[in-house]
Amino acid sequence: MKNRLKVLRAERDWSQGDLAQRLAVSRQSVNAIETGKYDPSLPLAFRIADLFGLAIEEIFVNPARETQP
Amino acid sequence: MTADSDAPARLPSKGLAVLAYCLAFLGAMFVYFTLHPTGFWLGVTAAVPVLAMIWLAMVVIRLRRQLACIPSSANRAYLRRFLPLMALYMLIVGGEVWFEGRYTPTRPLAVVLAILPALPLIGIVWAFGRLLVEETDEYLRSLTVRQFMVATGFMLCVTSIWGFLDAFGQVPHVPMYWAFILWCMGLGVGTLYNEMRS
Repeated sequence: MKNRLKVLRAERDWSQGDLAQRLAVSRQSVNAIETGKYDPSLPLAFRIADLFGLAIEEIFVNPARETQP
Repeated sequence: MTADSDAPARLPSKGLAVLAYCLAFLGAMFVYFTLHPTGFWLGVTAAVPVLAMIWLAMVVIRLRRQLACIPSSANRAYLRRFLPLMALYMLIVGGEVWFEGRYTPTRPLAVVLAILPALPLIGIVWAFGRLLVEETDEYLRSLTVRQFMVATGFMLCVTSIWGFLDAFGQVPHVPMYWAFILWCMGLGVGTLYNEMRS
């Protein structure tokens, strides 16, 4: 799933490791989510959203809308 | 603090350990079916792929720990369970090979001796299960699940093909405990698959 994680992270000058630590996950997880190779569970998506103070849909692109013309 | 922000995106390759494990396993199978080793040499034949598998497991755990910001305690717990159980398994098999070379056990001792090596293997199955239960990182858990699924598919494919070849008398009969060994070999295939996908 496409997302703005990398941009949001860069805005805060966080490394993948920093973000992983804040989310209590591995850096592999952060990398996999950022690159769209892994879609986080809803609880993890909420944790990510809470961390950035945004709504989930402001971070993750809705795949259904993405395919619409 | 962004110097390492996007650095190593992939796990460093563990291909050498996987290759060594596959070669050790196939080599051991070849030796077992062609040279029919007994006693000490049977133990050596069995020990080589097991040692290769332990090496592979250690490489995988080390790499995961290297990249993980929060070290996976589930992986450490898994190793703490797996290694003693595997050592116990090798001790039991070695002891039984030694025992059978000198004595001819009859029932009920023969049944007890036959079941004994399976117990640490069942313990290893339990350790695999605990790894899935205790892994708190959902992405790492998904990788492990995928690895287990690949291993299961690998084992089912090989046992299906071998079973029918056996039924038609084209290959020698193989004891059923080889299914477990094949599954463990499938873990190596699963590791390779995960590496290709990540």
